Amino acid sequence: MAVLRLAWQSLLNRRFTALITIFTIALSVALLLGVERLRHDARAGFANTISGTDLLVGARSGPTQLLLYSVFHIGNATNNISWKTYKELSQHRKIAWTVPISLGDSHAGYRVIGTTPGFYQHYRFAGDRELAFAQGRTFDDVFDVVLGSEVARKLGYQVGDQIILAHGAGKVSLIKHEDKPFRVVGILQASGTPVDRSLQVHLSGIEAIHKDWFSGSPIPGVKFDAERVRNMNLTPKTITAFLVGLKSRIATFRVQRDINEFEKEPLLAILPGAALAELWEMMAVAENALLVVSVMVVLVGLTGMLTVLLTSLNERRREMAILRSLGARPAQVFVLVVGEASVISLIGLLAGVLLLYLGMAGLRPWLETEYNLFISLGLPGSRELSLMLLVWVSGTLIGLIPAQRAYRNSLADGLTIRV
Amino acid sequence: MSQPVVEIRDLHFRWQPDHDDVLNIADMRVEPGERLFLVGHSGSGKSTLLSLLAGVMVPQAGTLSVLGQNLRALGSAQRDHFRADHVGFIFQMFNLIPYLSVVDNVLLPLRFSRTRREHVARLRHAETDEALRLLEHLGLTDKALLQRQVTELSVGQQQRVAAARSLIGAPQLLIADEPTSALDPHHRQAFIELLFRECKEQGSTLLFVSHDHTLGGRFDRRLDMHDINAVRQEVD
Repeated sequence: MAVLRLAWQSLLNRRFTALITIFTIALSVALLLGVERLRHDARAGFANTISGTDLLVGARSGPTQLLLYSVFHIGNATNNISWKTYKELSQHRKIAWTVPISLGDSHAGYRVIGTTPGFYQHYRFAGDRELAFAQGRTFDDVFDVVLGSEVARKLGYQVGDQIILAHGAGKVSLIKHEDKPFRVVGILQASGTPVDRSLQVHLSGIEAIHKDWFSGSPIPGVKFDAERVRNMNLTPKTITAFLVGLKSRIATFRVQRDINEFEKEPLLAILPGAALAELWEMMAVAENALLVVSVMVVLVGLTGMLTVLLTSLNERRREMAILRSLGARPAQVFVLVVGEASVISLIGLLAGVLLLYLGMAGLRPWLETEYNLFISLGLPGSRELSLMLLVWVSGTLIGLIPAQRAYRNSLADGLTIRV
Repeated sequence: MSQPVVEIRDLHFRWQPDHDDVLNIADMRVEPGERLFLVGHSGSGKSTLLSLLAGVMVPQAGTLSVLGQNLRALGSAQRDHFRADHVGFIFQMFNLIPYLSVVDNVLLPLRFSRTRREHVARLRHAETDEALRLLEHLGLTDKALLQRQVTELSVGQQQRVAAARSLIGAPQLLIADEPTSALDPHHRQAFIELLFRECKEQGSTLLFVSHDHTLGGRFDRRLDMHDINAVRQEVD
């Protein structure tokens, strides 16, 4: 169409301001889509924190609390589970495997998980991904420790290093288990889960460093050195929680009920997926606020375009009068201006998408290592596409404002050429 | 006899219904092929008359026909269309679209009028060639000049490009509104001669409007707005 070609040529003539406008829109679109993608991937990453585990069992508390302390290592368990109960329940005929978890110690602010080698065998994240070793191997000896990727990177540890565990959580630890150092035998690859920020040792290791402790503090006058402890019975008396895999998922609710109704000890079994979804809902407010802010930024970008278009109209009155004298209808003058807004927002949009992908490709390694955020570089999803469409439509609709003015001007001016 | 190009009878025009008339023309005719000089100082109503002839506005009463077409009978879009097809305009200055090349400026009317496009097609050569032919006729042959931005041309050159644009596709009526007032006296007469020659070649009727009496010498006929507009004008 002739008028759209004119709109394009007119735009080229004002390419400097047009480019700035396009750049503004591109930035705002990149931000909007970036936030949307981050939101989506953070949610997916969160939901993928733990999978392959059918039930998560801890002492009776709330589902969110159990999930927070056992999987995310946030807060502490109010109560433990006795080893006897654990042993008994792991014999349940519908249960295929169990992995015990014992928490309560830390190293430089990172939590220590006391568990069994079964942890590496059964822990899954992001669908069906297994924890993989970047270096070394799983723990074998009582005083072996495996490091999560972030722990190793941030603290600069290598396989073979000796480290000291501290009692309790927090960076400023009160008492250290200095008499019983651990040796780093393996370092895990990054998984984007809380495992990255944890250290894993064998349950017997946890028991060993507390052999000369009682009820959370060292027994005065009693001191067992590391070699002596090795020969003692290192079966724990309690654990914090355990992961359960079932022989068949059909039995999930049945087993959950059996555990919840276990008579000898008050227990709580939860479905990790359901609890994760529930927890995420609590964060939906922040998530939505982020989206609202980025929508505002796009509005600011489009308002910038509106300003530019309105300012240019006065300079273009002469141009419009000439076109009118050549037989352009006021409606065509209208299309000329709307067309320009539409072209600007479309180019801005495409530039924004390009900017986003370049940015994502560039920032990906950094986001992964610093924030454990795994960004997918896939094609835009339907939600992103509809956001993009929305930006384009809004840009075109905003163009109606200056277009309407140009229309009115050209009716009023007629062929009078205003300088 | 042949149909008049412009025919006005008992025409009344006012800006608002409760205002006084600004135009009241009892009778005005322009014959085909005529070169008419319409003189009038500012405020005499000549710009208003041109807007009416262009179909940008319509009179409240009376007859206004261009090429036999009663403009009052047409809707505004139809009048725009009519203007695109049959009327060529040259203004005082700033006639050209700054972001188009010289040739694209000349070709612009063809984008709005199928009639004028078809007229060029009947000449059996490309539209660009027709634009170049007209430019050449008007003395713009320099290839380097044609490549330049229109804003870099001299006023005289710009007016000749505007003339070529108004002539392309051979519209029947050419309206020139003070086209020479930005030119120096030497170029004025030359420009008018060019217009005469091209109008004659294309068979177009020329309506030349100016406040400068001295230019009217070589026209077929002169009309003074004072004589045709019955509305009293305050001279400023």
